[in-house]
Amino acid sequence: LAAYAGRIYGEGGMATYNFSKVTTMVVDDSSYMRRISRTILRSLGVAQVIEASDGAEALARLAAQPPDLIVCDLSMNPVDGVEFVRRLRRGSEAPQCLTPIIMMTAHAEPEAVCAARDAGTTEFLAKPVSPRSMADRIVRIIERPRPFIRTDGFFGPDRRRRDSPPGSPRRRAGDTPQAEVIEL
Amino acid sequence: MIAPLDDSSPNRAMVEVIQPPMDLARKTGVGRSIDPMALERAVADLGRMGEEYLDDTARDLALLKGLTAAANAADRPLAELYGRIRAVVHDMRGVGGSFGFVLAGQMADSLHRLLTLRPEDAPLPAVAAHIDSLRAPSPGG
Repeated sequence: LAAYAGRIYGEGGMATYNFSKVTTMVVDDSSYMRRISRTILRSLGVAQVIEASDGAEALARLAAQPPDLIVCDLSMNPVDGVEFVRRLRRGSEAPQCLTPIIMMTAHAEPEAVCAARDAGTTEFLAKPVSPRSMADRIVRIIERPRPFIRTDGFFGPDRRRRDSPPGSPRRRAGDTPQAEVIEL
Repeated sequence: MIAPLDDSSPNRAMVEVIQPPMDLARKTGVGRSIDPMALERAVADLGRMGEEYLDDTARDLALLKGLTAAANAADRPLAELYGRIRAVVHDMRGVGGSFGFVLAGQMADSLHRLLTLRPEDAPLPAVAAHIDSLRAPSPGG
């Protein structure tokens, strides 16, 4: 873990991530939280931070300003984080449906967190948010990408976080053995 | 574009595995690290925001005190007052912890949930107790 942390935060003179061409969308109905997220992202060097005050506004802005990364709050009105992710992933013809999403959650919201995971959230970030915790999630998305899975009831990043490639032995006897890998 | 499955194939897959284009990684580069100076800059910028937060929280607490007094006096519909209280604590619950006031954030979250899940059943003494306890661990409380 120490070696991993050292690698994330630049010990040993490693080259650093270049965020100068990255566009991020922050979706939060709290203007204060949007400001915190924007401040952290801009300080890390993210060039463009688009803001939306709820899921509906974010969906309306996605086509015109497609982001490379979305940072979203779980609890919003009128369109909350779960519904936003669900609608985004469901638009399966648009390239934005594959955009990585970091979902911010406040304290204990286990049922909502499960719903957000099943809607297609990429990573979770528990509040209180800090520059280090935000950077940690971004690095995980960059360095440990997961394939998207489409089944009858799910479309989103692989919910298994093990490093087992498609075609690995199944965990359940009833699992269907066939899978088709599509490179985009 | 996501390629559709071939429905006529005898080996038709039940699961599609899609390797998405990694636009983010292509732009940032991979196998690198976060610039430690950028991280320090982010911490410093948040620290400056924290100073403003002290003033804003003192104002929010005064507002909550006024709304509680109005609820006790029953001079406005409780649902309206609860809605305003909920709006104030909605911001406090997520923000407090980011500036080091973790307990305030947790108390704000508890009150927010009380006013979200069953607002019609939320007893005023419970709401007032939450607000009192919220004042204690907050700056300016």
